Amino acid sequence: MGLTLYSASAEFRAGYFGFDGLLDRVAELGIGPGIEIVASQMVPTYPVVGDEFVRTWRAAFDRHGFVESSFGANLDMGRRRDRDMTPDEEFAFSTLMFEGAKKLGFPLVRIQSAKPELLRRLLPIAERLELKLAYEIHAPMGPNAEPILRVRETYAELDSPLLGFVADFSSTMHAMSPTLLRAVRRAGLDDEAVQRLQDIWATDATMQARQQEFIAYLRGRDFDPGRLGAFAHLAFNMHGHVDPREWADIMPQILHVHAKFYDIDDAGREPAIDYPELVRVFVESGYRGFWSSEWEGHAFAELGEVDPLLLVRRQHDLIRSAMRTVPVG
Amino acid sequence: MPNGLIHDDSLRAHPDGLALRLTIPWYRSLWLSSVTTLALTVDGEEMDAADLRVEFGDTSYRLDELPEQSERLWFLQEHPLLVARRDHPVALGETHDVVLHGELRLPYMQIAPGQDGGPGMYVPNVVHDVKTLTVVGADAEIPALVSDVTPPPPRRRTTRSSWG
Repeated sequence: MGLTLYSASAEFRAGYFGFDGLLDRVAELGIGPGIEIVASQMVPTYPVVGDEFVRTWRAAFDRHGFVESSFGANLDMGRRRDRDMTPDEEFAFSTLMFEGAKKLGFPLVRIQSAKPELLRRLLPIAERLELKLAYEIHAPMGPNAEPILRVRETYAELDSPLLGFVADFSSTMHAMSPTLLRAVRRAGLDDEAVQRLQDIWATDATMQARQQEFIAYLRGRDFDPGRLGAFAHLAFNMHGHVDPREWADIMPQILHVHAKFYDIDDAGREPAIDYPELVRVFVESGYRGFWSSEWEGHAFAELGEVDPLLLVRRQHDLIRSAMRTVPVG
Repeated sequence: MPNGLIHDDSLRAHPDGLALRLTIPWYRSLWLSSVTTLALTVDGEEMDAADLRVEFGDTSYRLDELPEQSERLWFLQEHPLLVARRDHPVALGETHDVVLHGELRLPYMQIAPGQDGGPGMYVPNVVHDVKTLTVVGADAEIPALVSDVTPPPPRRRTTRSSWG
């Protein structure tokens, strides 16, 4: 079990704690041992992992007995405004990320690009640095979405044990999160619009088609979609409703789990994500990696609405109790 | 709206006119070159881009200098000042209507690659903050955090990943 420090994005950004203080807070709440970071959030000298950061990291890990689970890399190909990164620049940037992961003791890097030629060049680097590479599958896609099938084909071609996936549970939700629905109500949607949003979301049309249908509905009711800001897009982009059982199609390649969540209700359940079912699928299919809690309510909630690290602690209780209910053998 | 550029404690006095303490409107650090638009209106008056600059500590950037700054990181915890030159500097305690419109170009979310060595298309993030702000002299206080949780269960070594 563990978490991604991404769960505390808003609090970290607002200066509630420094990096050291954040790790202290995680330990204080009994969360762990797995620690995952998004490097572009936490490393002040990104993309380089500097010696000072490594010192802070090692001292905190020694103090708290944490275990490094996943290093979230990005590929900032659009860093320049006049042109994209060249393939050589992409390779160099990715190598830098991998070296940073190694310095911090991570066994796994979360990657977001699976371009065949780039991966082919990076595999020897990953092998030398003893890293596995996990491409993240998250909303709105699932394991059998077209773009993911292409990644699976690339993987089959490259045929390397170093390549796998991060399964993010935002792909496999059964409802829209109360946190998101509260946010769109605050932005002005009434009961009818909130119901219509959920009805459209639940259909099987493409993300773009569903988004356009909802925008057309709002205009039809004389509601300026601009009032929703980014929510009009994020509602469809960040919550997927693929069947949890589809994860079983690629389970041998799932190296890491983002235990995504937005709410924990009074009964200790995640109202929009079927954790008992997901845990059953993963346990029965033999998953042995980390469960890295990822609270993403900060996309919709106001700072201070909840304490995400307290929620992570409650979510760990939910995951553990779901594990206990999976039939043995 | 969460993830905005400005907050209740953002408006500050400045000898040149006024300053706004900015928060990066995203969940990760970005390059200054990722900031494609910053447009400020104060009390209904649109400010000229030439009268705006972004200050990180000792270093100042005009808005038209931002596109080149692809090596300068806006770290997630950094709060630069958007300094606006105006004839009448604001004073502590005054209230002003502020509209700050910002747009980002997310460098790791490519929609389409560039053609013929040109720049590609990237997912934007648009922020439109409309706030009535009072000029303050310091950051808002950080709230106290509670820690009343039950002790966690003892760690079982067998739950540790068996990956090499």
